[in-house]
Order: sequence, then C-alpha cells, then structure tokens
Amino acid sequence: MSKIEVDKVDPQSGTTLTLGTSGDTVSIPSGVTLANSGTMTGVPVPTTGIAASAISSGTIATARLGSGTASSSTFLRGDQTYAEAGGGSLTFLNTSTGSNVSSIDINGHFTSDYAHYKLIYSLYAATGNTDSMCRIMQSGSVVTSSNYWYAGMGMYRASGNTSANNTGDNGADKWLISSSDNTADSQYPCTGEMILFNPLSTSQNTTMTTTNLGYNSGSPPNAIRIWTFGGQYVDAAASSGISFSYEGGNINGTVRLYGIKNS
Amino acid sequence: MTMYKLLNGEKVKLTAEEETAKIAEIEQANINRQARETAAADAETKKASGKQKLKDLGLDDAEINALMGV
Repeated sequence: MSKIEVDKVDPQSGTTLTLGTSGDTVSIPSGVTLANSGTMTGVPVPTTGIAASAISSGTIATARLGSGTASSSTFLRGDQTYAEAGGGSLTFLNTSTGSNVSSIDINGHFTSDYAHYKLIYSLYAATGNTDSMCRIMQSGSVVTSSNYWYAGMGMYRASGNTSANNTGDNGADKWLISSSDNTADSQYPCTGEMILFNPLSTSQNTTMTTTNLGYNSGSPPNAIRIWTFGGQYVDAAASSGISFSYEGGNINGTVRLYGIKNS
Repeated sequence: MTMYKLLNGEKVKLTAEEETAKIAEIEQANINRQARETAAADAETKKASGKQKLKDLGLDDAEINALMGV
C-alpha cells in the first residue's frame, strides 16, 4: 500500500473531487475525527440508534409529532392526532374579587352552552353580625322583587354543643345563603359553592342550591355553622347574572363562575 | 360617602337609586340585628330562669341537662 502525505487535495480541474470508484470502501480508522464546517449532501439518514437527548436545539415540526391540523386551538392527543380541546365539562367563565363594595355582581356570562352553573365563593362582611345573601340579575340589574323563595338548614357548633338551625321564606327580596350573624373577621370567610339552574330559561324559574361554612358574629367568632340552602326565583324571565352581598353593609371576597356544559 | 359595587370585576359607582336602596337595606339590617340580639338575650334569660326553676324543684345539673340539654 502506497501512502501520499499532503496537506490539501484539490481537484485537478473544475470543482469536483472524487474519492474512489463505485464499489470501493473509504475507511476512517478509529480515533480519526472528520471535522465538517461545510455542507454535506447525500449522507444517509440514520433510522435507528438516535437518542432523544441528542436533540438539543431547534423545534420539531408539528407534522412530525402527529397527524391532523396543528393550530392554536388544537392539542396533540395520546394517539398522536391533533384534535380540538375537549376541555372537560366545566368551563371557567369569570372571577370577581371585591374589597369593601356594596355587592359583587357577575353579569352577562350565561349562554346557551350551559343550563347549569357552578359558583365558588369565599366572602366576608365589612360589618359584623349581618346576613349573607344572593340575588339574581335581569337585563344587568339586580332584582329586589319579593319573588325569592328559600329554605335553609344548618348545624351550629358552639360552647360544647351542636344544634340544628333552620330558616326560610317564600316571598323575600333575596336568598339568604348562610348565617344571619356573620363575622367581619377576614380570617373567617363564609366559604362555599352554589349550583345555579336554568338562569336563561323563560319557562322555568331560576333555582339554586348552595352549601357553605359560616360563623357567628364575634371577631374571632366562637361558633361555626355548616349551611345548606335551596331557593328559587318565581319568575320565568331569564336571569342575566347573580349578585352576592351582605344585608348590613359592604362585602369583601371572591366569587368564581363556571359553566357546566350541557353535553 | 360614595358607594361602589363590583360588576364583572370592575368597581362601579352606585346609581343614586341603588345607593338609596342599599342604605335602606342597611338600616333594615340594623333593625333586624337588634331584634335578633334582643331575642337571643331573651332566650338566654328564659333558659337561665327555667333552669333555676327546675333546680328549685330539686333537679341537679346533670338531670336538667339530660332533660333539656342545658
């Protein structure tokens, strides 16, 4: 085997340099480094043995990840298909946090996508010893007509005793939803959830059920109550929103509204 | 004092009509609160006097508690 020692090999003419002839093998011994700063074409693409960790920069094209149309409104499923987001059956619609305001109103979020809504609330009064309450809104205005029916039952724990409470009305100008003597202590918010049924219906009343934790009027309070209320607004007109407030003054806290998909 | 409500997360000044209604509601709540406190105080007084009458009849605290839960 002869050996040529040169520092550079260039084409004798033109710009193409050929190594070997078809059928030949060009061997690169162990320890030799091929340093490429140019462009290589026709290099076979390896089909196995590529570690995922070898991909350390750039972005893999969406078409390489799955079939279907990748867009801002689709997600890649486990079967490697791009599809519209399922999103589950509960859709977040609004959150409202009030500080020393007369009421916390959420309006204009009811749509035909949902017959039922879930509200999560954590509220405390600006003035102690007062009723927490709810009203529906129609066409953006809080309704104070005496068409509210409600009934509530609670268990009250204080001074070593547990006792039952109940309350109700069938011609009130609001739904009571918790203790009538709530504390204004911010450490003890009235915390609960509510399901609102059919607010947009023009053939059925808007109804609600709610369960929450309430307290008595001390600061700190010395009693705890668990309340469950149910209520209806006797009027087939559509409700556009819901309003939370305290009868004896302003309200603090957060209400979150979710829509429960019809299907 | 100007009164505000929170509507869809935005603080909105109450209309004159809304403010009048809220003030009336607060005044009524104060009346209700006073009535509630008076009723609660009356109930405590009656509970104590009733218990004392039972004691005067010869019942001890355990017997009264077993009977009345007080």
